[in-house]
Amino acid sequence: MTSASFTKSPSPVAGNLTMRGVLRSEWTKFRSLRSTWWLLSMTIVLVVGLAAVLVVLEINGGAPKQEPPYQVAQQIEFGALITQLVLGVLGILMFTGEYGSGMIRISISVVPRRLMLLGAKLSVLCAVVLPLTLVSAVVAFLLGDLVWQSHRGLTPVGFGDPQVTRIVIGSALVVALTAICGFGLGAIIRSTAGSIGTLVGIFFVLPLVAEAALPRGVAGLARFLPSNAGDALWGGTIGPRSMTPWAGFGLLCGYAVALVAVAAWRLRRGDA
Amino acid sequence: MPAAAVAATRRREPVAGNLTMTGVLRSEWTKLRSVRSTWWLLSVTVILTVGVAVFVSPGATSGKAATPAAFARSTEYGSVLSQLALLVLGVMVFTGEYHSGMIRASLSVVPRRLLLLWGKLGAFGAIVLALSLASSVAAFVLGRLVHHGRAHAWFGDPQVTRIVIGAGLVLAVTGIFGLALGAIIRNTAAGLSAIAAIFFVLPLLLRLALPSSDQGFLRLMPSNAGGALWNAALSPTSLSPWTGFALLCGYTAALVAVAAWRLRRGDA
Repeated sequence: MTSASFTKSPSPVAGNLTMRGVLRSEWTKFRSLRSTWWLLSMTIVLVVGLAAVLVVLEINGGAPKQEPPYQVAQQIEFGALITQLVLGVLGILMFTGEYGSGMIRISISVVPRRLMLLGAKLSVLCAVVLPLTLVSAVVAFLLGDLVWQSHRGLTPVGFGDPQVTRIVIGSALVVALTAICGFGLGAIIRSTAGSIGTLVGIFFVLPLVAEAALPRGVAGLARFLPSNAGDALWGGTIGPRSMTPWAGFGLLCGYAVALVAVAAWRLRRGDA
Repeated sequence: MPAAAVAATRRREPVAGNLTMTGVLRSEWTKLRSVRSTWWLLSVTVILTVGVAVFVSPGATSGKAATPAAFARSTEYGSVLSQLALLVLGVMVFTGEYHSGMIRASLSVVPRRLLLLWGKLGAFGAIVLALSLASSVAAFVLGRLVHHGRAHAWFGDPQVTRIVIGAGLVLAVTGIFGLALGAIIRNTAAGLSAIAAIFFVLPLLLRLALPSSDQGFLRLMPSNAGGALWNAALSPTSLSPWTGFALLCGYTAALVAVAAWRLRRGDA
């Protein structure tokens, strides 16, 4: 009797560790934080709201009757610039929030396979952010286009134009990738303030400084900055030269992959 | 034996009696200098401000001989980057304490809340002002030495003096702006996001997206108002230098007032 209970030893912890279980726990952590819902709802409000506001301002400012469709689409999606910041912060908080509160010690004790933890967090982030940015970019475009059409005399834009499709989808993809860059930075730097400072510095301040300060001979290098590479896909680069849309997007993907790879290396090899 | 009686009758002074501005300033100075991130961010400030001047930007004025003012401005571009470092430092003066719980100890020890605010403001303001002025002057002097062929700019020129000193002043006031916003928002992530949006993202977004007829108000944004003092506003039109600086100081004073009100009236 008693011997039976002895022979049936509980299976070791690692045996219970399935990706599904880790995903579920990460999802629970993600959705139970107030900041998540703040940042996600701010994203929708800013993208959709700015789309309507910016189109109205453009019309009142005397938009040309024959404005090329791609310019209208850009005008509608400019809100993506600020949601890059919002979702970048969301990505950063995935890890730094846990380092700040000490939760990371529990997480890693419970999920000792560290890359599994990283993978689960990244999956949850992508699964939420990518649909959200895509849907809000499309909704923003439909709304902005509606406003544009409702004004007499202006040609409707619509999805037919391949450039328009690229800009609408592209703006969403770039925002989602910025969130992943933030995720990688946060996992590497581990401090909320340090990571946000770095993200803002790289994505928003460096392009401005590069535009003003780089000598003419090397000013073209600014197009390889992450923000300018991503903007090549939809918004136009700040600086004298721009990458082609998909090359720029590819480079931004490369930056994101590199950041996540460094994060994985640091999480696996270093102390937590 | 009588010694014990003397000790009993000689009551200790109440805590509030010991509370002097000097003491609070000293304790805030200790807190500030004993945090690693302070030294990180202050070094980053100096390195960026001076480094950009020496290695990068004066080349942007190459070609024809630049005007002294344009050359001076080009040596100060690094301060746009170091602005970010000082904003982070400023925001964390308060949010760091709220995050760690230290604020409860601070307010217990210094129950006069405005005294605490002035103490923090004094310690932070003094070091940031000294450092940003020193680094903006160093940036200009070193940039001038390294790129001596570019332009005949030196402190005699009133515009040059205004730009060099102005870049340092704007840097310091921006840091205080961050401190006040941190005291109001009390959360590092939220405070930094707000700062980033106000100083960097919104000016960029609005400049790209607004039709030119609506861009007039962009000169009133904090970053552009400050930029006016050293000819670096990114808006199509710009305030006059000292008006712009006064407006930036006005925004900062308003935020400090709100922070004081919130700290005094609200729960901590």
